[in-house]
Amino acid sequence: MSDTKMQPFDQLVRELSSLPGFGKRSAQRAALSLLKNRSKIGKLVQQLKTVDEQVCECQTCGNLSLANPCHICTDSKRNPNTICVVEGVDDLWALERSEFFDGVYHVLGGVVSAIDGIGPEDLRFDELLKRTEANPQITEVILALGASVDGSTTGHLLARRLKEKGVKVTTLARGMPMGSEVDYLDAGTLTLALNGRMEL
Amino acid sequence: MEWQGEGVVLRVRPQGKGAYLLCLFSREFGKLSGFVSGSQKLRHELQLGNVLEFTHIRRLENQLGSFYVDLVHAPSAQKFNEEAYLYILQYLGDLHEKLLAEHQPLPTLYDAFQNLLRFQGESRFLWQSLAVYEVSLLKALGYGLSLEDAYAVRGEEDQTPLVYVSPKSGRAVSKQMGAPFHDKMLRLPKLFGGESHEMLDLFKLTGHFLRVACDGEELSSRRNLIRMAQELNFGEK
Repeated sequence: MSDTKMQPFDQLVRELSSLPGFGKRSAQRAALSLLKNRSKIGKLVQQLKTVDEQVCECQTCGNLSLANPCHICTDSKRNPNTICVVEGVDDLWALERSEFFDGVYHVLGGVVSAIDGIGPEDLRFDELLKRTEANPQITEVILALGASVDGSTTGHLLARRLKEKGVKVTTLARGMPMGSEVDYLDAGTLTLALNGRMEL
Repeated sequence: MEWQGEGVVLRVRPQGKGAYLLCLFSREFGKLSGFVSGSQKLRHELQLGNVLEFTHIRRLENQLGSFYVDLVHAPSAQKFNEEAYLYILQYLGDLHEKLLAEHQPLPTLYDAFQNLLRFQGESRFLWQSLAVYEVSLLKALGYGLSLEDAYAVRGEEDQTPLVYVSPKSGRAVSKQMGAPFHDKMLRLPKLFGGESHEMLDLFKLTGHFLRVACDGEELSSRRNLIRMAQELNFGEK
């Protein structure tokens, strides 16, 4: 259905609104802004092309990088014997922002979800198991997956398979976020926090 | 139109920023779907299996309405360390979403579902409870099994025990009557008065009739669940 009687423009709005974070209105605003400032269009097209050509997926960990293997996998200062398993590249970036973890990563590409029909075979489970087989020096695999039913199910499944291979598996602590107050927490988070309490 | 009640989260799909398409199973109104929007805290509350107090508003009856929700109970958070429970929870979310009709109250089934969600005990009993729940679900959907002696298929003077279930009628069948059709018959599990101790027979029985309820297709979530259950040896040590 055409809103503006300009088929290419409507098509652009449709393409933009299919992106995450864009609704129809915001897509229309972005498209209009580009039309008003046409020099941006060329730069945007060029940048999209560059990203498409240069950014690739690391075959070792699944991270997005300009090189394969990525800069994290090839960094000699990092500990290759501790692997942190994350759901997506955005989670990897979040952990990197903390500047606390000095090991390497493994991006699963999602979590097991019965309702969405996503099983272990659809994720990068086998690649992780092969990595642990290929490197017997690996001392720990940290599961940094979401504190949801799907995230926990994936964690259990992965932990069982890794433990069969004799690898130590740990998971991120669950409970109170920084700066939170007890009376503002929901029952689920409080339950997890109580279950994960520690001695002082 | 405005409905208020308590319901269990079956499915949550992100729908734009800060909004979700929520499907829940309520005691008074059956399965309901609608939009819900709110802060990051809402995402914590909309976990599969969580019990919510809701207000559901629709302008028209056939319109997808909106929800306002409050968390009542979060059973899944208490069970994050129980692998079998989480698999079952995922499967039940899928099963209910696919099989239950919108706006059809099933209070007895809802109560049974709540009991299953609050299950406390050994894992092998959880699997048995799931099978019993599946039988209740089948009954609620009109595919009731007649496993009691009173409805059994047996010949005159036939005193042999009930060991089979007819895959067509869902009635228990005696050993003598079922013997000629041994390969086609389903095994009647011990849990329902038969002889088979095999957990797999229990799930083959319910699985057969659930497939009938799903127009001949087995849910992939159930296939995966049974695979996982076998890996976990149905909780048997």
